[in-house]
Amino acid sequence: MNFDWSKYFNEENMERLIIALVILAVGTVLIYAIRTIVKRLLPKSMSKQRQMIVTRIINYTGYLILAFVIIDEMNIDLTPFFGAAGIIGIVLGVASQTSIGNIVSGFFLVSEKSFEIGDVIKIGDKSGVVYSIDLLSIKIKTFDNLLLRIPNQTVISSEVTNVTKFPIRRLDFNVGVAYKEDLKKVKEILERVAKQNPLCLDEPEPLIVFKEFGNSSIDILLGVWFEKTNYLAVKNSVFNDIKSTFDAEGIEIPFPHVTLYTGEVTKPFPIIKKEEQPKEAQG
Amino acid sequence: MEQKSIYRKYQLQPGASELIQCNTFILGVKREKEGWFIKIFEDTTSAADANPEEISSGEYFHSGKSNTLIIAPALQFKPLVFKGTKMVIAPNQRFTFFIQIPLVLQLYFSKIQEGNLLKEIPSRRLSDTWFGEPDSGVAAFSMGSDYQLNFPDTDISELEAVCPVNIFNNWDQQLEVQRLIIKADNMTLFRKDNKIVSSVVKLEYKGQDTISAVSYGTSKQFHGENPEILAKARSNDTKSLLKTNFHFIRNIYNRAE
Repeated sequence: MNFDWSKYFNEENMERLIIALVILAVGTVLIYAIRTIVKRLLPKSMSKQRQMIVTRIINYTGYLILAFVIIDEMNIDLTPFFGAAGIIGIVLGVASQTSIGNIVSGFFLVSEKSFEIGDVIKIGDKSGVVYSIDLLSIKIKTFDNLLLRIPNQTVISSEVTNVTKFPIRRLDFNVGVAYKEDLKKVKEILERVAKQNPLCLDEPEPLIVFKEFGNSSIDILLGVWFEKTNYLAVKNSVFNDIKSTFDAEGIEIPFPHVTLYTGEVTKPFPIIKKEEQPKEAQG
Repeated sequence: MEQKSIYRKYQLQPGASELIQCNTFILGVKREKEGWFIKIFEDTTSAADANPEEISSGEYFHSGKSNTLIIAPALQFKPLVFKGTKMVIAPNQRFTFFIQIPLVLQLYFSKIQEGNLLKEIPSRRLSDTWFGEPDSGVAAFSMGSDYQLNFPDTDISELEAVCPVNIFNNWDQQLEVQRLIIKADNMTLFRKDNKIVSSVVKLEYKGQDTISAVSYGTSKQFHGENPEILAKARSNDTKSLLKTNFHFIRNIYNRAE
């Protein structure tokens, strides 16, 4: 077979190709420049997510226009492509069903605004900071510094908890005290712990609820409100404060007790504490 | 002998240190050749209990050759929330009361100007609180509910400022002051005799559905003829003043889920 390469690689086409490459280079720089300028002009109060959407719109529109300009410059006849578009469409449609689902879900996610970049979210048993919201997936940076990719479709169909949506949060501590303790005193101590910790908000007031008579303890819920940025500091300091104040006030925090019986009529097994003899004495 | 004020210039040569008593802590400063070490000795009220040698384990600020350190008073950077307990103002009545605000110590090198601020240290850590609804309120410090009906005659600690609050109830019903926000960053500090007095908070309450009017200014009665400014307002942005000044607590927070 004698293929006539000169039909395609002739002087005229090479000139067009060079011009197209120049347009591509200039166009890319132009899109980059416009994107940078617009990004700088955007108000600082605009959320990161909205900034990302604006820059992406500039990117996609810019490259689409650039593609048309290059096609036009190359004098490519698109009629055969449009003729085959129906078949290509079906093939692409079947092949990219999941991707299209993710893209559509992505639009819903962005318009719904349940979370934004920088928010801490929980999806299923995974949690972390939203790193990016992309066309096909969202990326989460977990607290142990791993990047987690979750397809948009999964996010849309899952229960998502936005932990940092509101400026303040309530942190609940489940505290168990022994049955012998005076509950009025315990309540006063818990109120004092919350009041004395400057990171716990005075208002909304701390919540104290006697929850239930547990197997080994009376279970109490202490809920303290705090500014969301102070999560770790509040969690650690209140935890420490409860333990140290209970110790100081002689309040017992019990743990599950098991008593062994040899039978219905017998007494429990006696426990005898044996003093360990010093080694010299043993020898 | 009159006790020296904490708010003054301290001249320290390289290697020299100073222990300054302040409420429940001692502030230690040590001059180095071109900077300052600053350390707070927590829960220590006597300079004798603080070891000057330990100041070098504190924060270091490289500030240049000036041997001058200035301690100046300032108001808190967050708004303050006053909790009214059974405070009711009848319709068309004007009520003035006074609260005492713990101040912040500002440490400057060389002279007082924005770029020379080394550190801010609250003279007393106020408890955090929230003013407004849990989803749309403002972070603030809690001022508690103590107030006085008369301008304090006796000397008060120089670590506190007297804040006069004047509320005019321009409404046809009683105003029960439950929570009142004071935007400390819009207020100026003045010296009057031996006291530090903040701007007067002038409030006009026009009902729950109307935004109350507020202004922070001076008064001859509380600041004197030519008031001496100790610290200018941190912010001149008065937009935040238009926001709600009163909050009426509803019992919505404590729902256990």
